[in-house]
Amino acid sequence: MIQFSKVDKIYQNGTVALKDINLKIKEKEFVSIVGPSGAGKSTLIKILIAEESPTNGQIVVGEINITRLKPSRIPYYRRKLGVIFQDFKLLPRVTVYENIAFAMEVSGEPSKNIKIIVPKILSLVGLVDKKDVFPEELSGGEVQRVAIARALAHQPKILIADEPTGNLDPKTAWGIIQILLKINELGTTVIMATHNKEIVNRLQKRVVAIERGTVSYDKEVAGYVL
Amino acid sequence: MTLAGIKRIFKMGARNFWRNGWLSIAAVFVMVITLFILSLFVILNIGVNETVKKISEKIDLSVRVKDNAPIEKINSLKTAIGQEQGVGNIYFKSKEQAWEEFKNLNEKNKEISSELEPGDNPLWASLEVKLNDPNKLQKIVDIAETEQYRSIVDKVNYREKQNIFETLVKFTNFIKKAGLSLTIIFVGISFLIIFNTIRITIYSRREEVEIMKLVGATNWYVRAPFIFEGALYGIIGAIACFIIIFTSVYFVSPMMTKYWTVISQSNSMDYLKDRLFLIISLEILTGIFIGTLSSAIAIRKHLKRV
Repeated sequence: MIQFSKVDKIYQNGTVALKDINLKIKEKEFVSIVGPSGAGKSTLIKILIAEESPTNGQIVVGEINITRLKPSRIPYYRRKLGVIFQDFKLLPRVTVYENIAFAMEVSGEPSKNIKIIVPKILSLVGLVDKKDVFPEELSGGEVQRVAIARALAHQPKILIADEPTGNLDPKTAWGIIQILLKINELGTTVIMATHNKEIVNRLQKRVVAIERGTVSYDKEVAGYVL
Repeated sequence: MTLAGIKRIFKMGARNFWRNGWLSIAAVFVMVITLFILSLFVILNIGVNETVKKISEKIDLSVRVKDNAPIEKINSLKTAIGQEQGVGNIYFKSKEQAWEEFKNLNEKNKEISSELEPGDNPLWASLEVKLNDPNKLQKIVDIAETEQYRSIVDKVNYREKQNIFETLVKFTNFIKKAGLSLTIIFVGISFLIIFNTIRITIYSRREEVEIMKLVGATNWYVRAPFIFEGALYGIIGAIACFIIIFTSVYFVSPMMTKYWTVISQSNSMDYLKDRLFLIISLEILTGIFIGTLSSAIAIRKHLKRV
């Protein structure tokens, strides 16, 4: 479903972020991408969501070769993905409900559908009673769940999560992972970048380790190796 | 683009406008000034042009021809003047015709008619010239006064009116130049202010814009609210300007009427009312043009990575 072939990414200042990445992710897989800070995890995700383009190589997602995507087609490609950003990227001045509705409005969803889908997603992440609250009034775990809810709003085939357990205590973090597992069980491919050792060990799912821009380890069922 | 999408764009643009507060007011204010000057310029131009036209219709040139002038020479002068641009009409008035006209004019004045004998005709033959373009006056005079026609031309009658006329022409040209320069300057100022306002809007909403892009908004969807915001400055400015102009015309009109009736026997309020729609449309279109163009450029410059 997702295939990276010989992908290099060299930034304009000469930093080599990724080097010869070959990676295949199947449909409905749950993949943890691990590695130290600065190893290239974030660059990999940026390339996957077409925020950056690779210097060399090709990435095919579904039927689409995203390295050859015209800029005007990028928005339509992004609507097929759900992305949970490391810094959440929620709008601070609007409520939880509006944050999710906004993402759907932007991608041209009819208001009728938005009214039906948003409450459903909020109940999936357990935030129905927080729908009229502003992000700053929420706890860390709750904010993360809003981010997940927004990522799920378009019912994406692929969910990409960049450090979803970043600043959370172990118990809350595991709560978030359980939501991701549930989404995965419902048929969505989940790609998660993390350096949370405990969680990776407990998950026992596929682990891809990235070190200095290359894939150093890739195993179907594994723990944290670095 | 769906209907819901268009509605969302308008809503977002209007919200930006509202949230910008004083910035929006400044942008609208400078737009009003710009459009007001533009309208004033257009109205003055119409007025002055009309005045000049009316006056130039009244000022005709009369080239007085000597009694013994041969008809071929007169015809050659007539052709020479008739060929000039800006000459509307030219005809030869013989000594006899002039006399008839004079008699007709003074028919009721018994005293003069009785004094005149059919035998003595003190009048002269002439070429009567009607000018369409007052600027060509001097040119025609020059032709009539060349060496070639000295033997037949006695005098060109225009001088007594020339001073007023030249002043008027100079004034018209001044109005046109000053109005145009002022308009250009203010179009520039409002362009800069709207450009800056939109830039600040983009800056204050950069987070929102980034999120929009990341969750799959098209470029057009991101940009359209800013363009609409710019157009809004133009539309609101034009409406405000319309109110100001209509009120001014309403109050100034009675004073204008006096002047206007002397010139063209028509009412200034009616005259402007006929053109008010034109002025309003011009204002709104200009406002929208300035507003959208400046935001479009601001977006191009500041949303490059979007």
